[in-house]
Amino acid sequence: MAPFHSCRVGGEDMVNDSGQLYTIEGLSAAILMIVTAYIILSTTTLFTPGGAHVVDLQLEQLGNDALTMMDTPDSAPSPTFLPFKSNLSKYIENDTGFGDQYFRSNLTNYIRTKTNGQPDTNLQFTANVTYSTGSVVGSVPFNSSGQMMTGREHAVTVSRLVLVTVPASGNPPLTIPPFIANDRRYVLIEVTLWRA
Amino acid sequence: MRNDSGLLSIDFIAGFTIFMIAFIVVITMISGYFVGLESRTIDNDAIAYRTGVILVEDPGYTANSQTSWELNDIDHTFNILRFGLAYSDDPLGASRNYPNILSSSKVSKFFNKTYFPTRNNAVSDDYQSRLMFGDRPYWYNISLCEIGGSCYPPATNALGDPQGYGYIRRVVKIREPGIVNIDAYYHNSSVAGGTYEIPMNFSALYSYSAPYLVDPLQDPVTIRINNISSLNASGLPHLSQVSLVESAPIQTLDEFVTIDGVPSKHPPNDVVNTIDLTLEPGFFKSYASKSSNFKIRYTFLGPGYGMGGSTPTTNFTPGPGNINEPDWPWPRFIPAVLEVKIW
Repeated sequence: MAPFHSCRVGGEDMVNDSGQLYTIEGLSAAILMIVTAYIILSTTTLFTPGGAHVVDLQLEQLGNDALTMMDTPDSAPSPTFLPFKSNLSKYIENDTGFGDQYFRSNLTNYIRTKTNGQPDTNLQFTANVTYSTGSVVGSVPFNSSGQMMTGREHAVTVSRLVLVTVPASGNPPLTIPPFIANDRRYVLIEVTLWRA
Repeated sequence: MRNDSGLLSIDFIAGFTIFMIAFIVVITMISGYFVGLESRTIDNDAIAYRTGVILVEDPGYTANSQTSWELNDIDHTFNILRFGLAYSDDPLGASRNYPNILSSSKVSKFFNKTYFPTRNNAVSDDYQSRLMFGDRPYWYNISLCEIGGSCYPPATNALGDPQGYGYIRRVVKIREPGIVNIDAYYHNSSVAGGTYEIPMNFSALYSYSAPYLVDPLQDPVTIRINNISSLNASGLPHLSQVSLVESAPIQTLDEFVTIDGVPSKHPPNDVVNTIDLTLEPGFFKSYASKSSNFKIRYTFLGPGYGMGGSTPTTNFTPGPGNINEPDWPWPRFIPAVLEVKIW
């Protein structure tokens, strides 16, 4: 008895394309799947908190608010003098010689005050100012809340460009090399915030 | 040897690869999908953040689009569609140019318990539907304190302390309009009676830049004349009328005037020492544009001397607010901290 042809494994007789998935069909099926998945997902509101570190966001918002408000003048000194000078500009210009200390107490007030009356004393900061004299770019420490970082803290940095006018005489702004007198230019203040 | 069992065809590899890529893409997209639905703390933080942004950076919105929301009176609070405390230099509240600068009239209206009574029911709540939005009810506590100063009574629907709440804290400045202070001594009438006029030149007021300008279309207007007792009076000066004058008187202001700090003492009446005029925010809306030119006229009758001797002829312009000239003081900016808790 001759063996059953259908039982043979291999050979010409297995060339049979029933049930075969062709490349073009696979491709179109895959594209269909992707398009379907995309349409489903894009028609639904997506929360994407995957990368959002909420604590970072709160600190960053607070720091940005504090810098913005310090850079917003409290009142207008006179109608002819526009734009008005903000506290933050004055601190950096350092007319009084105590600019960094005023900065420290002002920022401490802004970031630590809570509405229940108990200050958020865990919040720490350190600030520095980056400047360009035209030929040299440098950075000087401004002031800090006094507590050293141990290296374990999870810190965020906020920054703001501040317009300063260098007085013709008087205290140099911090230890920044003197600009051209009465020259107005931007310096970058960076504040690193963390919870101790 | 022609046995290919166990071999992968190129078709299968191609199809499988494409399927796997699609599968990976779908899985990647799904990963963030359920987090917002179930993780309550992250959800609460997101709502708190959003509520803070709406409060601090948005001027709000009202159904009657000719005005801004805080100008709705107590019978029309249903017109308010969205709260927002930010100052806007556009009376319609359309501009969002001044984030973190809060309007004091919006703030006092927002925290006003008469307008928005606190109910211990998170569902039917003014703040819920105009600030938090969404169908899911939340407990909330919104508080605002001046830094180194006083606090507003918090807006909350909760009885107890919040637990496990979403939180955001914003540093802001509250824009507080100035109060005009006039010393009557410098404006003494040399005859019995007299008329004293305060020019209000809106185009001069609005020629300065927001948010520092004086904004009578949105701000309350408060004018205090004091030291009336210094007038050369033979008897008490008698204030017969206070009116708003364009080219002719267009509106009496008597009902907005209080004399000597007595709320029921309106003109016509004798004055011992002070005259206060308080016009609510939005008072000028129906009369004025940014180019209007008004005077506020105080009419005194004899026999006592009134004011008027040195009626200022210059425009009523914003200035540092000294006591001799009725300059309009600039608004002040008071640093404050706003906290939102959601749970």
